[in-house]
Amino acid sequence: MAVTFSDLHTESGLKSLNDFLTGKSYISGDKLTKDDIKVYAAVLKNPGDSFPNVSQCFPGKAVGVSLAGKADPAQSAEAKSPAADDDDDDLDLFGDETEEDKKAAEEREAAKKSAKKKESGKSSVLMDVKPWDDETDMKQLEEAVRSVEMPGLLWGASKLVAVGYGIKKLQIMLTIVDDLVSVDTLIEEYLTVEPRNEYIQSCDIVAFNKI
Amino acid sequence: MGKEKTHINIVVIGHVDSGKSTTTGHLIYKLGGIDKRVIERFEKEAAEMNNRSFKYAWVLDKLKAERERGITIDITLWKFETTKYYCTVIDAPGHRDFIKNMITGTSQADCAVLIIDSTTGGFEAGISKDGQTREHALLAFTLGVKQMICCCNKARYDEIVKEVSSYLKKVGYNPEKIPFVPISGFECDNMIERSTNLDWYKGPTLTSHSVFHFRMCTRLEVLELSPVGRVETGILKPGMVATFGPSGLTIEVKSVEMHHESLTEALPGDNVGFNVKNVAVKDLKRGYVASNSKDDPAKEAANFTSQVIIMNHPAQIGNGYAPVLDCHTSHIAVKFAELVTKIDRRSGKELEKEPKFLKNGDAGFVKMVPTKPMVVETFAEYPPLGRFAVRDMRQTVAVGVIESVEKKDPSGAKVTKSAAKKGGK
Repeated sequence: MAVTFSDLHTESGLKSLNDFLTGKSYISGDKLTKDDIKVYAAVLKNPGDSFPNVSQCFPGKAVGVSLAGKADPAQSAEAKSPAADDDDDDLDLFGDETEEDKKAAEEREAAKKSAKKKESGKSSVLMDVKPWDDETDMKQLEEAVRSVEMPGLLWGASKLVAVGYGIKKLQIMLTIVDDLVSVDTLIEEYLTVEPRNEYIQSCDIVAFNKI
Repeated sequence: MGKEKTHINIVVIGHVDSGKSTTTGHLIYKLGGIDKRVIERFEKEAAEMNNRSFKYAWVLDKLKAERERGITIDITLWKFETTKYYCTVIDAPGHRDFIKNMITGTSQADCAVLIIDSTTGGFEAGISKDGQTREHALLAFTLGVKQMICCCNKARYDEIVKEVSSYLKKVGYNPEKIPFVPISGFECDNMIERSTNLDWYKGPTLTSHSVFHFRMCTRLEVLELSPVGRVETGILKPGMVATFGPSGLTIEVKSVEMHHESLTEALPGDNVGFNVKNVAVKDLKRGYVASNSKDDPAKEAANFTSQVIIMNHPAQIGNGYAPVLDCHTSHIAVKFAELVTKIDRRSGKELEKEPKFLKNGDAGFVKMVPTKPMVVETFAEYPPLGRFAVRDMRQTVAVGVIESVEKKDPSGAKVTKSAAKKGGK
């Protein structure tokens, strides 16, 4: 999120939002984004007339997308808590979706889409790439690794790390867009097969973190 | 580095937007996991922009942008130490390959921190069927992460504790042993020092809770011909006689090296190479397991029985299904020879004998037969060698832990001269 408003329940928070919104219709850019929804959810109470920019920005548009996921917070909380209270034994971890769940999920989905094409998460991966033996040309190995190109894949920094007995491995960072790049596919269908397997024996993931 | 502190891995789980990344980032920031120079640079920039109030958020955003470019090899970014432990933090990504990596990779978590978004709407979304809270908690439990801390980020503490406790109990955790801590990832309340904003809470803060467990025996996992691999459990020393499974090849470990330095012993977690004599290249393969030849040596599994949870399979699974199993570094097709029972995931109670099918959400005991020689162990004895991911159609369709293994004795396995001599003494 590019912009954060932490204290929208206070007057000063609303004021800073109001100032920020001067001359704007949306929090980020010229489209309705997740930021707007977050801020809208935080504003909750109609900001009233004292902050014209705030009221102008939100009632019309943000309500229009209906915020199905968070919908009307008071209502959804009411709907759910009684069920959870008396009998939570029917809490099914993966079971079949009921009609209601489906509908709710669809609504959430729709809300996401209308708000903004939901941005896919990204992960940062640190990978060990191991050669066949101490005679493998590590420079060519690295070139082979970096020659893999696909949408959503970005190769980062790398270094050679000594293993033992004169053998080094290549340690390389990569950034991937979660929905676009599978690390398993990358390893099994690009790196450890012809022609790159001339240099690469195996790959292991050292660290896999959310960005 | 002092030896008195133990190293633990902490996985931070929770639904998207639960405040997970803010909390993780803030924790690392506060505990000095981020390079001081980097922070100073960012703080200076922030000061120039006259933006004190958004300092943490702003620095975290900058760090995020930096990580996206991948220009620093920064696993150190995710390390910090407390008074008792060296901690590595894994901020669980939503990527579908992550689950498999958590199972077969080297970064098995000792402890999970579950972040709950306590805001109205946010909590409901996280715990709903398509939320990640349930899946993550269930996986963590199945895979042996027995220790959990639950953080209610944001608000509504009592209500959340009640609801989440009942849920975690169903997954299998004992909620009485799970510390619940009200925190604020953004304001950093109760994360390290007790917060005055939350002074009604008298329990310990997040970092003073950290817990760990330790595994021990002699086992070395081999990755390469060299052979290079990772000590999973126990200690590897030069002079030891080691047997490789599944082939049964027995050798003497001449010397052990890590980062080009000779070691007198290698401990769990160490990535090492060791020197063996008179072994042909074809005798060692990725996926093999080396172990002390005198103490429960690794052997080929004829078959094994596992507790499996089907997570993501579009259809049903029946007898004869033969997907690829990823277990430690081996990657071998395994036949689901016999669905033994279908069980209740939570209580472990048998629901059905010899079920015809298992579908999404079902758990059961399955007898499995590898299509090629393979070494597996029971999860109870050697956890890193006893958990697996089942892969089909490019995704993880099930996960499991191994309950029992029927082993084959190797026949005609090669024993090198030095190993025979050593063994005979």
